[in-house]
Amino acid sequence: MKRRRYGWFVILVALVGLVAWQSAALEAGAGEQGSKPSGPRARRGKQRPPDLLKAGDVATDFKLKSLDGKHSTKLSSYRGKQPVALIFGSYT
Amino acid sequence: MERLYKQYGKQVAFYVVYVREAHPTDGWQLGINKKEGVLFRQPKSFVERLGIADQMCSKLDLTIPTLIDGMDNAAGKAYAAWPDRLYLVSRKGRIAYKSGPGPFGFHPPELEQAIRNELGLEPAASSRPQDERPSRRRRAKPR
Repeated sequence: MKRRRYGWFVILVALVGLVAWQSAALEAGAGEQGSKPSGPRARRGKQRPPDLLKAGDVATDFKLKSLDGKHSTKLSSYRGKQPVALIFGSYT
Repeated sequence: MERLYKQYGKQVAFYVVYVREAHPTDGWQLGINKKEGVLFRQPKSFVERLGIADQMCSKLDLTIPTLIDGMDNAAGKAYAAWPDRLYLVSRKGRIAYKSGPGPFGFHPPELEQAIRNELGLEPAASSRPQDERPSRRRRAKPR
Protein backbone atom coordinates (compact mmCIF):
# COMPACT_ATOMS: atom_id res chain seq x y z
CA MET A 1 0.00 0.00 0.00
CA LYS A 2 2.82 2.45 0.91
CA ARG A 3 4.62 1.69 -2.35
CA ARG A 4 1.45 2.43 -4.36
CA ARG A 5 0.92 5.79 -2.59
CA TYR A 6 4.56 6.77 -3.15
CA GLY A 7 4.29 5.98 -6.87
CA TRP A 8 1.26 8.22 -7.31
CA PHE A 9 3.01 11.02 -5.47
CA VAL A 10 6.02 10.83 -7.77
CA ILE A 11 3.80 10.91 -10.84
CA LEU A 12 1.88 13.88 -9.46
CA VAL A 13 5.04 15.87 -8.74
CA ALA A 14 6.38 15.10 -12.20
CA LEU A 15 3.15 16.29 -13.84
CA VAL A 16 3.09 19.52 -11.82
CA GLY A 17 6.69 20.20 -12.75
CA LEU A 18 5.99 19.53 -16.42
CA VAL A 19 2.98 21.87 -16.44
CA ALA A 20 4.94 24.61 -14.69
CA TRP A 21 7.82 24.25 -17.16
CA GLN A 22 5.49 24.34 -20.16
CA SER A 23 3.66 27.37 -18.79
CA ALA A 24 6.91 29.23 -18.37
CA ALA A 25 8.00 28.30 -21.88
CA LEU A 26 4.66 29.30 -23.38
CA GLU A 27 4.58 32.62 -21.53
CA ALA A 28 8.01 33.36 -22.87
CA GLY A 29 6.54 32.84 -26.33
CA ALA A 30 8.84 30.00 -27.28
CA GLY A 31 6.42 28.91 -30.06
CA GLU A 32 6.66 25.47 -31.58
CA GLN A 33 10.04 23.92 -31.10
CA GLY A 34 11.75 27.31 -31.19
CA SER A 35 15.46 27.20 -30.59
CA LYS A 36 16.38 28.18 -27.08
CA PRO A 37 18.70 31.15 -27.29
CA SER A 38 21.51 31.84 -24.95
CA GLY A 39 22.55 35.45 -25.49
CA PRO A 40 19.24 36.55 -27.02
CA ARG A 41 17.37 34.84 -24.18
CA ALA A 42 19.30 36.90 -21.69
CA ARG A 43 18.37 40.03 -23.58
CA ARG A 44 14.73 39.00 -23.95
CA GLY A 45 13.79 40.53 -20.66
CA LYS A 46 15.10 43.85 -21.91
CA GLN A 47 13.07 43.59 -25.12
CA ARG A 48 9.82 44.14 -23.24
CA PRO A 49 9.33 47.81 -22.40
CA PRO A 50 7.34 48.80 -19.31
CA ASP A 51 3.67 47.97 -19.79
CA LEU A 52 2.23 51.29 -18.67
CA LEU A 53 -1.01 51.82 -20.58
CA LYS A 54 -4.19 50.27 -19.26
CA ALA A 55 -7.87 50.40 -20.15
CA GLY A 56 -9.29 53.85 -19.47
CA ASP A 57 -5.98 55.67 -19.89
CA VAL A 58 -5.56 58.38 -22.47
CA ALA A 59 -4.04 56.71 -25.52
CA THR A 60 -0.50 57.90 -26.13
CA ASP A 61 -0.48 59.97 -29.28
CA PHE A 62 1.78 59.18 -32.19
CA LYS A 63 2.32 60.29 -35.75
CA LEU A 64 3.58 57.56 -38.05
CA LYS A 65 4.31 57.25 -41.73
CA SER A 66 2.23 55.03 -43.96
CA LEU A 67 3.62 52.01 -45.76
CA ASP A 68 3.58 53.79 -49.10
CA GLY A 69 5.42 56.71 -47.52
CA LYS A 70 3.00 59.21 -49.02
CA HIS A 71 1.42 60.48 -45.83
CA SER A 72 1.51 60.39 -42.04
CA THR A 73 -1.27 59.52 -39.63
CA LYS A 74 -1.73 61.08 -36.22
CA LEU A 75 -3.72 59.02 -33.74
CA SER A 76 -5.26 62.04 -32.03
CA SER A 77 -6.80 63.19 -35.33
CA TYR A 78 -9.48 60.55 -34.74
CA ARG A 79 -10.51 61.92 -31.37
CA GLY A 80 -14.20 62.79 -31.38
CA LYS A 81 -14.64 61.08 -34.75
CA GLN A 82 -13.96 57.34 -34.82
CA PRO A 83 -12.65 54.56 -32.63
CA VAL A 84 -9.27 53.26 -33.77
CA ALA A 85 -8.22 49.61 -33.78
CA LEU A 86 -4.45 49.17 -33.58
CA ILE A 87 -2.76 45.91 -34.50
CA PHE A 88 0.87 46.00 -33.40
CA GLY A 89 3.19 43.37 -34.82
CA SER A 90 5.99 42.38 -37.17
CA TYR A 91 6.69 39.80 -39.83
CA THR A 92 8.99 37.65 -37.73
CA MET B 1 -8.20 40.70 -38.56
CA GLU B 2 -9.05 41.14 -42.20
CA ARG B 3 -12.57 39.99 -41.45
CA LEU B 4 -12.95 42.56 -38.68
CA TYR B 5 -11.59 45.24 -40.98
CA LYS B 6 -14.07 44.36 -43.69
CA GLN B 7 -16.96 44.21 -41.24
CA TYR B 8 -16.26 47.30 -39.14
CA GLY B 9 -13.87 49.30 -41.27
CA LYS B 10 -16.41 52.02 -42.11
CA GLN B 11 -17.14 52.74 -38.48
CA VAL B 12 -13.73 52.05 -36.97
CA ALA B 13 -10.33 53.10 -38.27
CA PHE B 14 -8.01 50.11 -38.50
CA TYR B 15 -4.25 50.30 -38.60
CA VAL B 16 -1.49 47.74 -38.52
CA VAL B 17 1.40 49.36 -36.70
CA TYR B 18 4.61 47.69 -37.80
CA VAL B 19 7.09 47.60 -34.93
CA ARG B 20 10.52 46.15 -34.27
CA GLU B 21 11.03 42.56 -35.33
CA ALA B 22 9.99 40.04 -32.73
CA HIS B 23 12.30 37.25 -33.88
CA PRO B 24 15.06 38.58 -36.12
CA THR B 25 17.92 36.41 -37.34
CA ASP B 26 20.31 38.40 -35.18
CA GLY B 27 18.11 37.96 -32.13
CA TRP B 28 15.76 35.31 -30.80
CA GLN B 29 15.01 33.38 -33.93
CA LEU B 30 12.17 30.89 -34.10
CA GLY B 31 12.51 27.48 -35.73
CA ILE B 32 9.27 27.98 -37.63
CA ASN B 33 10.70 31.11 -39.24
CA LYS B 34 13.72 29.15 -40.37
CA LYS B 35 11.50 26.50 -41.92
CA GLU B 36 9.39 29.02 -43.78
CA GLY B 37 12.19 31.27 -44.89
CA VAL B 38 11.07 34.31 -42.92
CA LEU B 39 14.59 35.43 -42.22
CA PHE B 40 15.22 39.09 -41.46
CA ARG B 41 17.70 40.78 -39.22
CA GLN B 42 16.57 43.61 -36.96
CA PRO B 43 16.36 46.54 -39.40
CA LYS B 44 18.95 49.21 -38.99
CA SER B 45 17.11 51.85 -40.98
CA PHE B 46 13.59 53.01 -41.55
CA VAL B 47 13.81 52.07 -45.20
CA GLU B 48 14.86 48.54 -44.27
CA ARG B 49 11.97 48.20 -41.81
CA LEU B 50 9.58 49.54 -44.40
CA GLY B 51 10.85 46.99 -46.89
CA ILE B 52 10.18 44.08 -44.54
CA ALA B 53 6.72 45.45 -43.71
CA ASP B 54 5.96 45.68 -47.40
CA GLN B 55 6.96 42.05 -47.91
CA MET B 56 4.74 41.00 -45.02
CA CYS B 57 1.73 42.86 -46.34
CA SER B 58 2.23 41.35 -49.78
CA LYS B 59 2.75 37.83 -48.51
CA LEU B 60 -0.24 37.95 -46.17
CA ASP B 61 -2.44 39.91 -48.61
CA LEU B 62 -3.11 42.52 -45.95
CA THR B 63 -5.47 45.30 -46.94
CA ILE B 64 -5.51 46.97 -43.53
CA PRO B 65 -3.63 50.29 -43.75
CA THR B 66 -0.16 49.93 -42.29
CA LEU B 67 1.86 52.48 -40.37
CA ILE B 68 5.55 52.07 -39.68
CA ASP B 69 7.01 52.78 -36.27
CA GLY B 70 10.06 54.98 -36.31
CA MET B 71 13.49 53.62 -35.55
CA ASP B 72 13.19 55.12 -32.06
CA ASN B 73 10.42 52.50 -31.56
CA ALA B 74 8.41 55.16 -29.71
CA ALA B 75 4.98 53.76 -30.52
CA GLY B 76 6.04 50.20 -29.81
CA LYS B 77 7.44 51.21 -26.44
CA ALA B 78 4.47 53.37 -25.48
CA TYR B 79 2.08 50.55 -26.23
CA ALA B 80 4.29 47.70 -24.96
CA ALA B 81 3.71 46.22 -28.39
CA TRP B 82 6.44 43.56 -28.49
CA PRO B 83 5.92 40.99 -29.93
CA ASP B 84 2.36 41.89 -30.94
CA ARG B 85 -0.75 43.31 -29.31
CA LEU B 86 -4.21 44.62 -30.02
CA TYR B 87 -5.73 47.88 -28.86
CA LEU B 88 -8.96 49.73 -29.35
CA VAL B 89 -8.90 53.48 -28.80
CA SER B 90 -12.30 55.01 -28.14
CA ARG B 91 -13.70 58.14 -29.76
CA LYS B 92 -12.72 59.96 -26.61
CA GLY B 93 -9.11 58.98 -27.19
CA ARG B 94 -8.91 56.52 -24.33
CA ILE B 95 -7.89 52.87 -24.26
CA ALA B 96 -11.12 50.91 -24.62
CA TYR B 97 -9.42 47.54 -25.03
CA LYS B 98 -5.92 46.22 -24.61
CA SER B 99 -5.02 42.62 -25.33
CA GLY B 100 -2.36 40.60 -23.64
CA PRO B 101 0.99 40.29 -25.38
CA GLY B 102 1.08 37.92 -28.31
CA PRO B 103 0.99 35.21 -29.27
CA PHE B 104 -1.12 33.83 -26.48
CA GLY B 105 -2.74 37.09 -25.44
CA PHE B 106 -3.64 38.03 -28.99
CA HIS B 107 -7.42 37.53 -29.19
CA PRO B 108 -9.27 39.08 -32.14
CA PRO B 109 -12.66 37.94 -30.79
CA GLU B 110 -12.05 40.09 -27.73
CA LEU B 111 -11.22 43.04 -29.94
CA GLU B 112 -14.44 42.45 -31.84
CA GLN B 113 -16.44 42.49 -28.63
CA ALA B 114 -14.77 45.73 -27.63
CA ILE B 115 -15.57 47.24 -31.03
CA ARG B 116 -19.19 46.20 -30.79
CA ASN B 117 -19.38 47.63 -27.29
CA GLU B 118 -17.86 50.90 -28.44
CA LEU B 119 -20.30 51.10 -31.33
CA GLY B 120 -23.26 50.29 -29.10
CA LEU B 121 -23.92 46.99 -30.83
CA GLU B 122 -25.11 43.77 -29.26
CA PRO B 123 -22.34 41.33 -28.39
CA ALA B 124 -21.41 38.90 -31.15
CA ALA B 125 -23.71 35.89 -31.07
CA SER B 126 -20.91 33.32 -31.05
CA SER B 127 -17.17 33.26 -30.75
CA ARG B 128 -15.47 33.36 -34.09
CA PRO B 129 -12.34 31.49 -35.18
CA GLN B 130 -9.06 33.27 -34.61
CA ASP B 131 -8.21 35.70 -37.38
CA GLU B 132 -4.79 35.88 -38.91
CA ARG B 133 -2.38 38.16 -37.09
CA PRO B 134 0.03 40.52 -38.81
CA SER B 135 2.84 38.40 -37.47
CA ARG B 136 2.88 35.06 -39.24
CA ARG B 137 4.25 33.22 -36.26
CA ARG B 138 2.21 30.19 -35.47
CA ARG B 139 0.88 29.29 -32.10
CA ALA B 140 1.98 26.07 -30.48
CA LYS B 141 0.29 23.10 -32.07
CA PRO B 142 -2.85 21.98 -30.24
CA ARG B 143 -2.46 18.64 -28.54
